[in-house]
Amino acid sequence: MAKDILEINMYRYNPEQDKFPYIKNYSIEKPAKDIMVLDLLHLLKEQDESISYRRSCREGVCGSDGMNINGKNGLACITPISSILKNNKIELRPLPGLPVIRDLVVDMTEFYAQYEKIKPFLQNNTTAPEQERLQSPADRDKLDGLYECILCACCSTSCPSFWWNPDKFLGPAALLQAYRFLADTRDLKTNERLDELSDPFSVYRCHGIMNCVSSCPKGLNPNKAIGKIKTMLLRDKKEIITSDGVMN
Amino acid sequence: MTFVTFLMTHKRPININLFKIQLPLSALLSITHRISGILIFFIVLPVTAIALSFMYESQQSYDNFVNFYSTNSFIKLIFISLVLIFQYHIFTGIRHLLIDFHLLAENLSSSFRSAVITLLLFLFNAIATIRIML
Repeated sequence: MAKDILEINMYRYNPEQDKFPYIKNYSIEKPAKDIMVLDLLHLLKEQDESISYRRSCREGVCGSDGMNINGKNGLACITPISSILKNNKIELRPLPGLPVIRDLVVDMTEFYAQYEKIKPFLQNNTTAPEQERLQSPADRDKLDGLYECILCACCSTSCPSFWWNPDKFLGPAALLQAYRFLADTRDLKTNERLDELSDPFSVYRCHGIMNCVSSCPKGLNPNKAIGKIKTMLLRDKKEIITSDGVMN
Repeated sequence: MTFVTFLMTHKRPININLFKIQLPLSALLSITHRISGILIFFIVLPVTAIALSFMYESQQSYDNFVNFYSTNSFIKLIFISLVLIFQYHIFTGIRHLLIDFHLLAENLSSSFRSAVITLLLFLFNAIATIRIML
């Protein structure tokens, strides 16, 4: 009957009791139905109430329960255990690279600080029309694959460049949003936004290794958006050279 | 001590265990590209430069070096690995350049495919290099 027992290794850390994090082993009978990792966590919490994790909507919309499941970042609530099971073993760890507050809960301050840096709001100081600023359907289509981000941090915390420079490299999540506003025809601060991104760290620490794409639970492609930002930065430079006759 | 001040003062752990994190093939290629770059700067270039300056001293020293190389299989092994490190860096570097110029599609399957092709090309090239240098 050993086959029907799930073995779960969980990263545990309680700053009030533990000096160092440790891995705790749990065994649980394999549920008859294919449940999500979040449901599994609920079952574990019945065994051990001290387990901590974030969760809210339990349907992949709020982005609270991002965690490292068997080595891959993802949302626990939309990851069926059948999709990640290897020899009935599951390893649950907090998102890599961010300070652990307790168990699977990480401190997202650095992540949000990077998001704040890209000014994630529409900047347009022309007088607003009576109803709304209109876009052509073609221009609106440019935002598909960009606006759907739920800021779960699965991508940024899977990125080695973000692990190295969480304060200087914006990370895939923030850069996807940066491109979301660069691509928006209603936003008029494109050049200012590009100026802010032109330092060696903000964008250029990305080397296109695709960790962000492979971990995004919403199937978005920050890597492609970053590539487009890089191209825009080059174009921006060119315009400056031709219009002023000097190179900045 | 309130919980907030506790959090501010306490050094919190960070979960980065590279053995427990799955990396796609393109990530491994990028990391090894960087490592090979470091090796080129600190080992490959200095060693080959020293060898070259030694060879160029005189006809005698050149002959000595060729003789030394062809009779000593350990030295052969070292020089072959130096050349392979350099070639690996070039192959993976060209792949990076192609991606940067948007000549390869930026999605998971294309990036995996180009990584496999790069490794295969490097492998064929490595076999040829070893055959020539032995």
